Amino acid sequence: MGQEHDRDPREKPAEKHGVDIDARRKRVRVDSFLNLVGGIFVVMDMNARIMLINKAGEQMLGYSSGELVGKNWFDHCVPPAARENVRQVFSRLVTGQIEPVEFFENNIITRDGKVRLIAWHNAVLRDEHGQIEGTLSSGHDITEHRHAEDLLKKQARVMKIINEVVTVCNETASFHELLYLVLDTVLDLLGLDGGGIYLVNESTRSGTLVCHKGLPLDFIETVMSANLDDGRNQDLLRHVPIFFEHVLEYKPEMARNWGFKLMAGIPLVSKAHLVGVLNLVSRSRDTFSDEEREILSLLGKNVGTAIERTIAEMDLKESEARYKDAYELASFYKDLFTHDMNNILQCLLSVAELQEFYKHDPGKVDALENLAGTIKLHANRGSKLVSNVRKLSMLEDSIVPIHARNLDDALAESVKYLLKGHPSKKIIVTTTGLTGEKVLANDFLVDIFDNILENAVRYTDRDHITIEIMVSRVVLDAGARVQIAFFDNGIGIPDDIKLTLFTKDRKSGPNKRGMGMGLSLVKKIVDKLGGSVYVEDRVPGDYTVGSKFVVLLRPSS
Amino acid sequence: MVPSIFIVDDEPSLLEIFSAFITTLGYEIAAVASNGKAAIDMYTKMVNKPDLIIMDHRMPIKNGIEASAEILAMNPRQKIIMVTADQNIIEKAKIIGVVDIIMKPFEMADFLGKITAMTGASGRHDSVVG
Repeated sequence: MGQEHDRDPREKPAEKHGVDIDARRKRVRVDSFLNLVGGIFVVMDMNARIMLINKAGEQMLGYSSGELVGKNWFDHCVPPAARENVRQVFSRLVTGQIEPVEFFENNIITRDGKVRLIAWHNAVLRDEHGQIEGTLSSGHDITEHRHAEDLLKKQARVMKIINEVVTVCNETASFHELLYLVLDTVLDLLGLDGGGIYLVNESTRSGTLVCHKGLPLDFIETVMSANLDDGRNQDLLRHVPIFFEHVLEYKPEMARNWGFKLMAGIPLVSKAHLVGVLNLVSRSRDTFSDEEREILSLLGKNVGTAIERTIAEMDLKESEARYKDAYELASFYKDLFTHDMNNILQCLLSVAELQEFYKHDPGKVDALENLAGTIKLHANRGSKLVSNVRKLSMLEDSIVPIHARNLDDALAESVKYLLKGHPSKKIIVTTTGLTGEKVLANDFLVDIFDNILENAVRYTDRDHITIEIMVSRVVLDAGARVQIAFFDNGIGIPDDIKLTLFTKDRKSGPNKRGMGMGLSLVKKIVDKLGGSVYVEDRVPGDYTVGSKFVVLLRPSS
Repeated sequence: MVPSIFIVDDEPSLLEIFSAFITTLGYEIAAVASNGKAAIDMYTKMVNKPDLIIMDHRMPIKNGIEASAEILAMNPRQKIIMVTADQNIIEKAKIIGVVDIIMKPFEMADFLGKITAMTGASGRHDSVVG
């Protein structure tokens, strides 16, 4: 049977029977027709011997005319890896165990070892008794087509992943949210164990780890900052990704200490600048596929652009906020001077005119003395206003050192100043509770009390002004605090104004509340001291009988 | 009949000074209030409405514009002079029906001149400002 394989079966019937001229002619016509067919056309007998193959098939497989006829198809034209599988399918087909598969794809191997993918249409050949005597197959080389398809699919996958990450970048509001979402998305899509993102300072050629996930704590401590001049990190400066697929060889300590098998450093590039590095690790995988490398390289560019854009947006927002703040501060000061200073000037001007009028009236001697007191009062108010503006400005611009301050001394100083400033008013100030308390404060401590006490005196319609100061210790979630509560019998503050009394001070301006800048300064100082301030009704539920201002400061011990 | 004037200002010194001028010059002080809400409450209860209200604008609880609007809603013929240092409220004051506006700081001669114009009575202030 082996020798028979070398004979040309097309010749055999004619030689054996010697007469079938018509049949020979017919076969010549069939041959001529098949040779016109572009794909492979092959007829095999029950033993998979090639009975007939067209010229195009022979050329595709790298054989000369007639060379394959009589040869076993599987042995010569199917790659060894697929041979057994395809042979079994053929065997079952020709023994009638399975129906012919109309469309089938499998690889063939050319004479010089190249593998081509062929799409086959198969049919069985039967003799005059209906017995299967072979197969008839026509095939088209779809190797290039499949490559193109695979490439398209791969590009679609790449674009899908990049699109997901870019979508995350575009939908993210905050910078750190952006970094974490990018990292999460990449780890999830590529099935990696952990990673981190460094922000790079190109001028110092260093990077700082700003977000990470799935990395051991001791590892994070060792990689918090990165020198881009080190070893292969220099590739990153040239915007070339680095892939460590044999970590034990290149970074043995990483493999030994943390079990990393696979590592990558992806440059995050924007407008030809390295803005960051995306580091990735895996303990379970050994390699990145070509497709993953391509994805990571493309991601580096997209994420880098998103990072730079977000940083620019953040800078812009910060800048806008600074300008807005400066504008509001300027408006606040303008408003303040328009109101408070003009009121003071109005008082002084009107008092001067009234004095001029009274001086001709002998019955107004006492009134003249009172007017002198009013002039002093408003001169002091003007001085205090200027001082407050200066202090507020200092607090806006600088950090004032904090140290232990005696609370009793500060309260006594403020009360003395208050009484001196309002000699004609009946004011009773009492202090109860703890004595000798020291709080963490600075030289502005007295200004807190000055302004709260001054408001209590200014905003009242009573002849007798009473202010009770109560000092106590309280324990809050934030820790122990010294509480200084001021109970007054002034006109009180309605609930809707209480809400914004301190917090919207500058934005709403003094006009909203009519309380000048005193409480702005109070809030500012208290904030700087790490304390808090709020106001409530002296008698809960009835704001009209007075207010309770509460200042909470940190004790010095 | 002596014209009566209602003074509303959150600055106690100005209440005292304006009252002193106005009474000395022969007008009657109908009432004084230190914020817009108190002014509305007092105005509502007044049987005899004042001939004129001197209304400061920037005050706690309720400002002068808000208080004037409510008072004018109650009595559209009420004469109100708005006293303010804020140029921005001039248009608003005119829209709600305030009859005149005087900007701080002002001299008493101007102030009393406006009072005279609004009340149609000169009092005795000519000797002061003359």
